[in-house]
Amino acid sequence: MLEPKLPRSVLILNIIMIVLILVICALVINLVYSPSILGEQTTASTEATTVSEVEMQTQEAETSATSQAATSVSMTKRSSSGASSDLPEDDDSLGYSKENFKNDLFIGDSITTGLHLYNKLDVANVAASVGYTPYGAYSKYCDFHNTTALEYANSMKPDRIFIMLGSNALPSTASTEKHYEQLVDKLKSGCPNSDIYCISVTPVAKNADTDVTNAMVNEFNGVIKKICQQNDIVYLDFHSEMMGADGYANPELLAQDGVHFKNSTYDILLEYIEDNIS
Amino acid sequence: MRKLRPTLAALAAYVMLTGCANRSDSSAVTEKSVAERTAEALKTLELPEMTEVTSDKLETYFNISPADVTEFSAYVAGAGVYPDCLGVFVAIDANAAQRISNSLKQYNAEQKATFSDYAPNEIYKFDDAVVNIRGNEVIYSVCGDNYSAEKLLQ
Repeated sequence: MLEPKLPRSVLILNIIMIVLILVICALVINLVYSPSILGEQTTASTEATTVSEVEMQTQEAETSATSQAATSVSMTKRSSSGASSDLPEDDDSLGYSKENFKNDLFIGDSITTGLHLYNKLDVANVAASVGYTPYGAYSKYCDFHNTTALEYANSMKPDRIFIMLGSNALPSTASTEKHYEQLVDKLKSGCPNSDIYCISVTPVAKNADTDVTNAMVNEFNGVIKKICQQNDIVYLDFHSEMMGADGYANPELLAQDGVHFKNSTYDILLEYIEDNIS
Repeated sequence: MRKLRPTLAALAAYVMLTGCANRSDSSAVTEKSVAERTAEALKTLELPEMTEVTSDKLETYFNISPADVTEFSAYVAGAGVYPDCLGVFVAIDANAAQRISNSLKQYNAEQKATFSDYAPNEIYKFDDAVVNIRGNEVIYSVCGDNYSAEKLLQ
């Protein structure tokens, strides 16, 4: 028995509908199983707080924290491991041995933080913080150690202490000089067996992104030299090592801002220290 | 109509298989290791001199427990005047990913507070800082182009 024939137009419409349904199914499958969508859905379901909410919580915590005299904002809640982790392996091409600094302490500011950021030294050998000043070194917490640089030095009792401070206290005043002197005095008292060295404030490049001038730097280095002579402390003139022929810092040694060091400059610094300390 | 049914069935099978094939092909193209993604971001983005965060500094810098992380790749600016930081952290599970995310948000907030006083001209990098959880991965970016950074790190 023959099947009744459908009109041609109905047949065509049926075919078109079926094809459309198949295409839509294929598109839905692609969208549902797309990896990027899967990630976004997970983000939407697991994100409980926004960055701005954590900032508000941090601001509230800071309000209570600033009531304490010796607290700085950044990285105060985390403590160093106490034990020094393994230093990076010595590179034979370097003009110094990292091993020679493992019992030493560098006290300084944002320039000094580069010593551990660039993996030249371990965090345990650096007591520094962005914006640190000679006064800050004994009144504000440094990064990672949950204490001031002075207190950290007193507890560590390093073989050698290198002070790299002054850049954030320029133009210097009578107070700046007093604070630097007091820091040296406190370190001598707290670490009587440590050899203390004062490293000059380093020069800035031409058109550096700072209000600090090399005239200010030179003036304060004169102050540091005087303090060193009065306290029988070695003054390390790394400033001269960095000077270019034009009276400004060699820009090849500095980051884009014309103030902070490049990675390789820290190698030069440590080599200079080794060469100039018997 | 009888001849049409097998044709339509074959067409349906083709379309559905094509959809599946496209899905597996696209996932194979985007699956890069964390190190490859950060390397590409370092190469592509305009950044200051960056330095790698080694595993011994994970907890010190970011307050992230090494036990929460199966692998990671992170870089920070070596010069203290720049807040730039990029990282991809693979957590052991979703709870660890949330802990990592919370730690990075805290770090981000502290950094922003520091730089608002110390280097206010760098604060703009925090405006659209990225701390995103994607499965068990946490992506972090603070730089001059966080939008591009996020895409490169995913």
